Amino acid sequence: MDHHTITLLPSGSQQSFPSEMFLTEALLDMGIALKTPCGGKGICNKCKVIVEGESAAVLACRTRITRDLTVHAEQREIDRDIHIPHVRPDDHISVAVDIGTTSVRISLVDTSRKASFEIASFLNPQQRFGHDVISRIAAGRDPSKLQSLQNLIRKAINIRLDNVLNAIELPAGMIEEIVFSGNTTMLYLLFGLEVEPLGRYPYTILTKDFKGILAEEIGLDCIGSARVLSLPVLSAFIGADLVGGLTLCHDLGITRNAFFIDLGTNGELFLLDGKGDPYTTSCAMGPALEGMNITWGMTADTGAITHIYAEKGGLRYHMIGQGKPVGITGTALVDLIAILLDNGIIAPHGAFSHNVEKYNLLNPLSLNHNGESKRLKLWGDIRLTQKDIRNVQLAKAASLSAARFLLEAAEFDPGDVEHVFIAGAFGENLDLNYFSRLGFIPYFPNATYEFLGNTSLKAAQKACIDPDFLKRAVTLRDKTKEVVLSALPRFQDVFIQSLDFPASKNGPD
Amino acid sequence: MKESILAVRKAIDELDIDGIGTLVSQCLEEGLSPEEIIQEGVSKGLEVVGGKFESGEYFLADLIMAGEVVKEAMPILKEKMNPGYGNSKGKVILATVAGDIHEIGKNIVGMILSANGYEVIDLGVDVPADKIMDTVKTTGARFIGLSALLTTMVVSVKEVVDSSLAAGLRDKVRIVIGGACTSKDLCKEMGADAYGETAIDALKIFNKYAAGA
Repeated sequence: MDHHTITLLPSGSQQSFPSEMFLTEALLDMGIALKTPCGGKGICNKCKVIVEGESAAVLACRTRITRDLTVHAEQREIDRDIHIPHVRPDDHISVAVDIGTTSVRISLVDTSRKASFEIASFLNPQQRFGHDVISRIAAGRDPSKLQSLQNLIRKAINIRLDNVLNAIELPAGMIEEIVFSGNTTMLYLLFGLEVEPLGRYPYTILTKDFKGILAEEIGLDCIGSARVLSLPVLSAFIGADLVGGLTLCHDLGITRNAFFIDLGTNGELFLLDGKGDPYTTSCAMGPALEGMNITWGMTADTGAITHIYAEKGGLRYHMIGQGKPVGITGTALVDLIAILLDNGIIAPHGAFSHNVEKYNLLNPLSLNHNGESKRLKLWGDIRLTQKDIRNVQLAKAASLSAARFLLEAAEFDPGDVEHVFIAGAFGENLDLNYFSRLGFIPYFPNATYEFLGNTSLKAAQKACIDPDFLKRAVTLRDKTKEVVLSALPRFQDVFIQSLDFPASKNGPD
Repeated sequence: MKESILAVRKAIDELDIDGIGTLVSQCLEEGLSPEEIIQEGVSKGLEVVGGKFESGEYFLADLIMAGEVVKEAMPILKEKMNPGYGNSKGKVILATVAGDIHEIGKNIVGMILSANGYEVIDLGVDVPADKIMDTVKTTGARFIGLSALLTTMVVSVKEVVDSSLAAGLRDKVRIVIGGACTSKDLCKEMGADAYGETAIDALKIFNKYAAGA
C-alpha cells in the first residue's frame, strides 16, 4: 500500500500513513485530537485545519490522505471549560473513564474532597470500524485491526489526559489510580484481550475482572505508574457500565422494585424484583440517541441543538453556543419526534402521516422530498429524514422488547415497579415526558421516573472515592441473573410488535 | 388492466388482509387465470410495497404484513392452478450460518421470497455448511441465502462456499449473503455471489438469477 508523509506545523514532527486514511485519524496518531462531534459527516465544521496548497481550510474528518501533506494544527483546545480547583501537593487525585461504544468521558476525581471534574468528552475513535460492538468485534478478528482498535482508544485517552495534566500543571505522579467502566467489548479492547469469543454463540467469556495492571501497560504513558482498575463485567454483553449502575442504585438505597435502563449503543437493563434479586439483559439499540446514525445528528457540542420545545404554532430550540445550529443531539431528537407524534405529523407506525403535504406544519418545519423519501426541513440545513425516524424505532423496539422479556423472566408485573431509572451519556438532560411518549420502555403506572445521567462514569468516579465500591459491585454482579434474548423463540414477534410508537400519551406501549 | 386485478394489487399495497381473499376469488370468477392474477396482481402489489419500504414509508412490520396478505391469497389461487404450471421461480435455501442464532432478517427475506413465488426451504439458525450442501443435493435447489449478524459469519460463509466447491456444486448454486456484519466487500472476499442489504435487495438479486442472469 502507498504511504504518504504528514508534516505537522508548528511542531515540525513527521509521520508516514497509508494512503486513503482520514486526516483526523492520522492527526490523532500524531497527538492531535480534533473535535468531531458529528462523527465524520462533515456537518459541524469542528475539525477544520489548514493544509498547505489548499485554498481554504479543510475538514479533516472528510479529507483522505492521497499525497504528502503539511498541516497546521496544534493541540490547544481542551474540551469545554474545565474548572479544576487548585491542587495541593498532598491531594489525592484519581481518574475515572467511561468508554462507550460511541462516546468516551474522562473525569478527574479529587478523592480527598470527594469531588469529580469532567475533563474530556469525545467520540470513540474506534468508530471507523463501525458504530456498534458487533462491528468492532468483527474487525477485531483481524490481528492488525485488533491492534488498531486497541491503539486508537489508548492513544485517544492518553492525549486528552496528557493535555489536561499539562494545562493545569498537575504532576503526573500525583495520579495514583485510574478506574474504567464501559461495556465488555470496550474494556476487552482497552486491555488487549481477544474479542472474537464475545461475538460467537454461546458468547462465553473467561475474564470478568481486571486487576494488577499499571497504566503504562495499556499505553497511558502520561500517568505510567498509576494503578489501573475497572468495574467488573458480567458477561459478553453485560458490561461494567451496567454493574456500575446497579451498584449506584443500591448505594442510593434502591434495592427492590426498580427498573433501570442505560440507553447506549449497546442498551443494558436491570430489574430488581420484590425480593431484591437482580435480573439483567442487553440489546442492540444502535447509536441513534447519540446522534450517529442520524443524518444531521451530532453529540452535545457547539452548534448542536440539544432540546426542542413546542410553543403556540411553532417550535423553539435550545442550542450550545451561538449562531446557526448545525445538527441535533439525541435529546433533541427525542423531543422532536415526540412533538411530531403529538401533532400527527408522524403516525404511530413511524411514517410521515398520509396527507402530511397538506398539513399546516409547525413553524419553521416544511416538508420536502429526497427522491422517493420524505423529509422535514428544520432550521438551517438541518433535516429529519424518514430513515432517521426508522433508526429511532429500531432503537426503541430493541429496548422495549428487551424490557418486556426481562419483566417476563423475573415474573414481575410492571405495576409493581416503584422506581424507574433512565441513564445514558447524552451530555444533556433527557426530557422524561417526551422520552416516555416514544415508548422506549413499558409503561409503569405506579413508578416515579428519574434521569440519572451517565451512571457508568458516575460509578467509576465513585469507585475512585470509595475503595469498597468495587467489592460491592462484584458481590452484586455475582448474584445477578442474565436473560439472553437472542435465544428466545418469541423475540422476533415481540421485537416487531415493539416498533410502533405508542398511539397516544400515556398509552400502555 | 382489469379493475379486479388492480384491486388485488391495491389490497396488497394497502396490506388489506381481510379483503384480499374476496378480491382474489372475484378475479377467478371473472375468468382470470391464477397465473395472471399472480403476475399482474400479487407480484406487482409486492413491488409497490418494496418501493414504499425503500423510501421509508413502510417498515419491517409492513413487509411482514404484506407477506401475510399474500399467504391469504396463495391457497385460493393454487387450488385453481394448472398442476403443470411451475408456480415456483425456484427453490431457495435460507439459513442463518453456524455460530449465529439471529433470525429476524432471514425470516423476513423468507416471507418476501415465498410471497414472490419462490419455494423457500428454511433451515433455521446455527446451520452448519454440510447441512446446507446436503439440502442442495436432496432438493436440487440452485439458490442459497445466508444470513448472519455476528462475526463468525465470515468464517461460516467461507465454509459454505468451500463446501460447495468440495461437493463440485459451486457453479450450480448462487450464494447470496445478508445481515448486519456482511457487506459487498465481504461477499467478494468470501467468494459468495452477491450481497443484499435489505429483504427487497435479496428479492431483486434472486429475481435476476431466476431470469437467467
